[in-house]
Amino acid sequence: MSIFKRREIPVIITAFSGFLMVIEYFFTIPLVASISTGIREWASLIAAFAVGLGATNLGIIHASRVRHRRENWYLSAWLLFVMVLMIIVGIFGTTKHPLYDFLFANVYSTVGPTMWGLLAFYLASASFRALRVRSLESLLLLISAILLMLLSAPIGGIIPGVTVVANWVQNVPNTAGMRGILLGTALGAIGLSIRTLLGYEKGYLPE
Amino acid sequence: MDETKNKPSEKMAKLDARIIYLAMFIALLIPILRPLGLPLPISDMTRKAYEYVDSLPSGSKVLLALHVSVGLWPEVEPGTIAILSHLFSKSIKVVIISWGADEPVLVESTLTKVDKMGKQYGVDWVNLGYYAGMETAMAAFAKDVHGLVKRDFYGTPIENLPIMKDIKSAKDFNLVIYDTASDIAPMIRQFVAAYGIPMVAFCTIGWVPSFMPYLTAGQIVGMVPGIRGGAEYELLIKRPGSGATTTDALSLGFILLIVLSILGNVIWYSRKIGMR
Amino acid sequence: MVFKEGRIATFFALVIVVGAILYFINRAKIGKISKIRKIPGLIAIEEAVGRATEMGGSVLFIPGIGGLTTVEGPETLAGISVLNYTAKLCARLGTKIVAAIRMPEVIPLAEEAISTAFRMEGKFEEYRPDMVRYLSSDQWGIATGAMGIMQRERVKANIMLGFFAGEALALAEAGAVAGAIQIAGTATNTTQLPWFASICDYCLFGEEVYVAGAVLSEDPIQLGSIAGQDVGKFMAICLITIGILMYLLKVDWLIRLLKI
Repeated sequence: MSIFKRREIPVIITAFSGFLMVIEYFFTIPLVASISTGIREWASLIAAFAVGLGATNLGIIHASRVRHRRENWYLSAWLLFVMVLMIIVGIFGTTKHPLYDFLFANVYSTVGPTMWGLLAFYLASASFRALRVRSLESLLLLISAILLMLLSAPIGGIIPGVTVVANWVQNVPNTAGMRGILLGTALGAIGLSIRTLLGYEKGYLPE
Repeated sequence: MDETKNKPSEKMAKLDARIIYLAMFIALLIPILRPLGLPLPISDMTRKAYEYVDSLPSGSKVLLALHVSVGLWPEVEPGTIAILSHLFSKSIKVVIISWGADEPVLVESTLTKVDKMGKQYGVDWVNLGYYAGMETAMAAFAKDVHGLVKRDFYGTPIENLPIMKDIKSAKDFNLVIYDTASDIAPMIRQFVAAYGIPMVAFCTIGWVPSFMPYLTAGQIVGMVPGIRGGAEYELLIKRPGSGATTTDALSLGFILLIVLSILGNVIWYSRKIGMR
Repeated sequence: MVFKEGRIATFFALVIVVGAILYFINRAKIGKISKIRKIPGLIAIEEAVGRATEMGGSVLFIPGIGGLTTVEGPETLAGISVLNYTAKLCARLGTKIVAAIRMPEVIPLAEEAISTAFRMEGKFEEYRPDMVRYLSSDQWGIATGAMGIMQRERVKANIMLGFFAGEALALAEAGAVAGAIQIAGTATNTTQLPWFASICDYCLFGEEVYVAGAVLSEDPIQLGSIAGQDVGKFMAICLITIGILMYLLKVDWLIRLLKI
């Protein structure tokens, strides 16, 4: 087996980087601070380079669809065309190029909010279909949802008592529940981190 | 023939989702075309944010950190326009930094809609552009601004920008405003917990329940939620804008959601009774 | 070695929690296994994959939309661990699996998780690179891409585990419309939990997400670490109780102590 496929190497790198970050968070040690800064910059760079990996993955899958004339292959061809166009304009023209600016303002920044707008429709169908009162807990969920929707809707403020009750739901039971979950989540993250740093969490590691 | 199939409750239960979508479309469209002028009470969280910003003396330095994708920008834009107008009107210096790639371009477009009251770029405000790495970048910026940032969004070395001369670390800011559509915890850790800098959140409405513990614990001094918060802030600075015109749609949309969730349950129970 | 201001108390709290986790790991090593409650959502994965197989459909897995270099990193890793388990089941039953990825740095981990699973089941020749699909780094790019996969590729089991945000509702609704059995879980972004709980068949929340990989592995050492976390929880409960009492008695030395 290749040395790069061994589990020990990623575990050692993870443990070294992870423990260094923990030390840097609590203590002022110039050497550790400079090494951890370097590791952070590496992490940002690797993440940035991974975009190329994503583009390659996307390119391979969609080029294969076009080549084999699979169903809706022309949509894959359109995706590849737009992806290449944005890459060329972004790299050679930079983000200040008029064509990049035009595509950003008229395509990207209009399509993005439109996708978010879809959520209003999904929210409507989910409210009709999914918020069923099957138990006392789901009844409480529905009542809380209605109160908080009234609180979020500006008009809710004119219904007497709604703001007071909804604010109480938001500030007391909601905050208490959120804090409990946050505490559990933080402890869960610490536990997972320890398992990862010690190499016990193996799901992402090569066999 | 199965008679239950003809019952109204059966028909309603199998309601085509597109009818629901159409109802939502109409509920949102009508108030945008013809504003209904529904009342807009100011919430405590927005008032707290406004009062804190308003209490800052002229010449204070504020960091406006952005992490809102292009899709959600319209939800926070009215609030962003309002807060920038408020800051410029009080001659407060504004440093803008983005934790996402889209935001520097988006904020540039938003700034064209703000009355800058004669304020100069590089002297009174600056757009530092995008820095990758999220919490890693936040920590690096908070610790050593000049260590992370070498040039602004336009490529000007920051040594050449007068506003950046006295800003070395997070400690040099009087307030951090986080315009966000993501979790606030990383900013709380890197600015509030680490340096004790007060923070105000301008967030999308979906994040409000998650941010409440930080507001009640005093880790953020105010919160301006989504379009509604933006509209409230516009009213507080007495400059009604795009936020105020869309709050009617918000009200009607939420009312429809409430009606649908009650209707869904009524139909579900009718069917249950019918089946017995 | 100089402590940073305001982090001394946090350091000792972390030492206690980590110490407890290591203690329970060592206990597990000598055969003293801690009892961990069953998580219905995890048990249901086998049922979901089985149902997708029976119906001739496929399994869609989304390990969240978070990356690795952010605070969502642990959630993403938890999702990848469950992806590994799900891929093993799919390899065993010959069911098609697709992992939809948002952040590019997650691609190698997802590829490794699926290929390792197929290799361990002795079916590496059935592994295909297009089982891992990077859809878009844009939040709605991946959401619409995954919704398209649900419709086009007869997804009958939709498993979403990791960090999710505003797209959670749309994904869950699209999965419901596609007739898929749905298992979803998220930890840090609790605002999405009501939708997952309402729409999906099974829901994991909070730390259940982080421990999923450990629970599914049935590895006593990993299970031991979960028991250690409970010491931290007990410590938090004690601090909250003492804090409330001290607040009522107007004594603030504990607050000052925790701020050092």
